[in-house]
Amino acid sequence: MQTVHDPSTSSYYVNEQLYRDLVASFTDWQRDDLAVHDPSERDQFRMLVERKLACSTSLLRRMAGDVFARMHLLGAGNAGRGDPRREIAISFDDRRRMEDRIYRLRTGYAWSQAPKSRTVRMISNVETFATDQSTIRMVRSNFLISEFRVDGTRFLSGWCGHRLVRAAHALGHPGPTGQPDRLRPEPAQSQHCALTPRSMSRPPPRMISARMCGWSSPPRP
Amino acid sequence: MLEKLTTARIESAAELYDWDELVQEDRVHRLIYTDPAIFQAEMTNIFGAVWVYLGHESQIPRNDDYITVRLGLRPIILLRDSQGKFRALFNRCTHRGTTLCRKDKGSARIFTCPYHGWSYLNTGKLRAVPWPDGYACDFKDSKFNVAQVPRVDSYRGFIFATLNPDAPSLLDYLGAITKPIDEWLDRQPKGKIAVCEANRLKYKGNWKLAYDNSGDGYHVVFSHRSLLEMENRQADVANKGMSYYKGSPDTAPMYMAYMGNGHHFKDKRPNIQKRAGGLWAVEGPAPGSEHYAEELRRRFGARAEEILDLASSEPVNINVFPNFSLLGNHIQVFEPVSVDETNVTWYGTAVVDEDGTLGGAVDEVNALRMRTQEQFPNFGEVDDLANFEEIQRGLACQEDEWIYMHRGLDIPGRVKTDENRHHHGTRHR
Repeated sequence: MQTVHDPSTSSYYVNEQLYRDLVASFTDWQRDDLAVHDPSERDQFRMLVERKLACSTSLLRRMAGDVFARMHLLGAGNAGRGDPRREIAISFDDRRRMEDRIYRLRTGYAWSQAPKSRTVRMISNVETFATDQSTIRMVRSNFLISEFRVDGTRFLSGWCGHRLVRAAHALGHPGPTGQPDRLRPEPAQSQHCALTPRSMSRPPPRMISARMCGWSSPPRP
Repeated sequence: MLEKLTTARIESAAELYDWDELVQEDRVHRLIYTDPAIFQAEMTNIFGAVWVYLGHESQIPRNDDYITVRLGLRPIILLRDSQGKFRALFNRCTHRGTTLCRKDKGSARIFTCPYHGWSYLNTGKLRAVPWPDGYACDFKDSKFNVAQVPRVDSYRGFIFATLNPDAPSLLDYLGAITKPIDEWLDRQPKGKIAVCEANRLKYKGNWKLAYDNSGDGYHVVFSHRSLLEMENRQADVANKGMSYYKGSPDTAPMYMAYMGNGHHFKDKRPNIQKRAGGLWAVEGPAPGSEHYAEELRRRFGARAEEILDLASSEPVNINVFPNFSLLGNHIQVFEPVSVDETNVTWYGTAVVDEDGTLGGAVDEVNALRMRTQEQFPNFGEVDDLANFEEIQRGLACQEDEWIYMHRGLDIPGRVKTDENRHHHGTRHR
């Protein structure tokens, strides 16, 4: 009998199989021939993505950790969209590390968020793609986060890829939470974040009293 | 030696201030971090005068490969030319000054200027000018070649360059700091690593705030309190990660060493049990930790512990002035942007096992090592950067002139000087 591990306290499900599936799922998936055009289905996925991202935001903002209870999650961001086994990611969070993030914020000593910044998120350009399995859809969305801090505002933009799986208990069978579950966010990879510089107030220019000289003639062999 | 660089440039910078007044034994003046004139002097007299780190050989593994970087503020194309020689070309067309290359990396034998089509070989030599009949000059004159940094050298894969023809050799410039660099490399099979992407951060503060901080053992328990608590939240015994900082840094076995030429070395290894698996025992939890540790132990038995150590963070801060640090398993590069803006790039490194020393475990080691390297930039560096930005804001109080750095000064026995006149001790600022 297979041992059941609590993903909050240990990390067994991040293994070779998961990495292989992740890389395969997020390779060559944003294809025109796989785009879902059915407006009702697209709308359904748009709402799911908006809800999930809003949920994540709310989760971190309010520090309510139980929202993700009993879900195996993975949030990853690879700058080069490479293989996360061979490249570091901006972040690659399993369930435990997501809880780490929340725990850290709750300590009150996370100086990068003390005082907490206010954020506004916008999600747009939600696109849905079919896969070779009818129970799995891939969804791409763009985001823009405005962060307001005492010394100014900064903007973070990027995109998210979600792999959404229709769970086995979708047809009225109770899920782990006791409630029928329809579509479940699965590992999301390639959340590409680009940090834009904060607006800066520069000091007034001053006269440089000394003569500044570089090497007069760099070599040109 | 840096101190002996007696050039016209240094003399011109000397006219700016009385440096001995600004930098004293126990304190430095706020202008060191806030004055744009000093920043400009640094770009010329430090970044234009000493050996500056540009990149790692694994980033340009084949002939014709290049990356674009900066030497101070100068845009540079670091490449292996078609004959395999490392070169650092100024990323600037000789003709009108346009940057020649706008990509961050790639492979090219020829760089063609998008503006008027002048093209250059990757040796820097001018290759062709459109409609040359319109010029009366001789384009064979080397003044039309791309300017390049005259001295480029590599120390065990780390590529440095200097604009200073009078600078000492790279080996002499690095001096004693080569010993911890060697030790850092030699814990990997055949002493080899490969760069594997990066976490790129920026902050609104002076570049020296980050370089100073890398030699500071005093701040950790305060600046990184959230990280220390986080990585021990589920531990039976709170000894994960940097827990050795929880007591006074002065009484812990770790030490700081000044290595000459501005280099310094914070050696935290004495805090760790010296045994196979000693590093892994204190590594904080990471995605896949339990799976990979169990799998490697099943396959390799007792030897798995030393293999797991390769996925663990090496507890050192090896700081090479002015822009390069080896921290944990990262290569950290400081890139000044302006007097109050800096880019900090944390390049991840992977183990390279060309001859199978690890018995086929290299992929598992790297899968785990990628995850352990994501921890500090996400949960530690962000708090450092917040504090750097707040220092820069605080230093706007121009009437409050001094910054104190005298911790340990004049305390008997705190600082020792070795035979190379390098200082060792627990003076953590």
